Amino acid sequence: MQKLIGRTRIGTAIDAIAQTKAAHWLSKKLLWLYKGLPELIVYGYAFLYIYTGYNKLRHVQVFIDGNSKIPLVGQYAELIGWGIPSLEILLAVLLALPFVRVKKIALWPSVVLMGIFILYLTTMSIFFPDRLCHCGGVIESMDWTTHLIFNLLWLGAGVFAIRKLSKNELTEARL
Amino acid sequence: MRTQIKNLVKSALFGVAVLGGGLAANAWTGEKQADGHLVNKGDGLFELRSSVNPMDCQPTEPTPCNYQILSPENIPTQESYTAAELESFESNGWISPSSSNGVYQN
Repeated sequence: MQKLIGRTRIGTAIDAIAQTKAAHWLSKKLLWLYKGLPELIVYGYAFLYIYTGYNKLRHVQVFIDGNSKIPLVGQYAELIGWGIPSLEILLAVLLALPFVRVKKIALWPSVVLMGIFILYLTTMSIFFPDRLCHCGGVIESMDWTTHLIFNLLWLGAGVFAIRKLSKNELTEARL
Repeated sequence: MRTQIKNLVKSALFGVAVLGGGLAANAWTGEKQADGHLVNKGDGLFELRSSVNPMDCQPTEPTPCNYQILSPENIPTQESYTAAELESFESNGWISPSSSNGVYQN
């Protein structure tokens, strides 16, 4: 009986240690993820922009034709048709470069571009809900609301990454 | 110094992988697409054809006999398409109407 009690106590102690270790491991991993999140967001932007930019360039004539039918921006269809995908690809390449400073510089226009897309999506969803966007690839299959939420999430993530990266730079400068 | 170079190379490789992944995803998502033409089968219904023969167009309707698909990745593969869908595709510049009107007989 005494032996059994002793074994149970040992088992409980091992469980407690394991739980503490697991919690410690989990918190370490979460901290690692949180620290790496800004960089992950940067790479996410790079992936998104290379994907949509290349898709638009592959079907540039369709993209230009689609833009030409949009009121107000229609007159700049050719410029937008070539400019937006080229800018997206350029930003994607800059964001994927292994230099933190370049990443940080490229992240700003990337987030601003996302903001412009949100402005465009909001306008289109209010005034031309039956039209679909020429946003490239599977993103085109989203409806306006889903697309807007998707872009807003990316905008939020981008702002978070900018703030976090700037904070990290300040901390490094102080050290 | 050595660690810095190692990290730089690692980061560069990861960057290349991300860009490559983006390009590969483009090819992958573009697989399921309706390529070819949408032909007018009458009564506001259209069907997908890989190619069309202009001789099969019977001028019985004042609407275009077929539409060439310009943007296959935006046209879902379906059994048939309604006139409303075609209108939406056309307004987005994804299809272009043929010069001949009528119903496609084949």
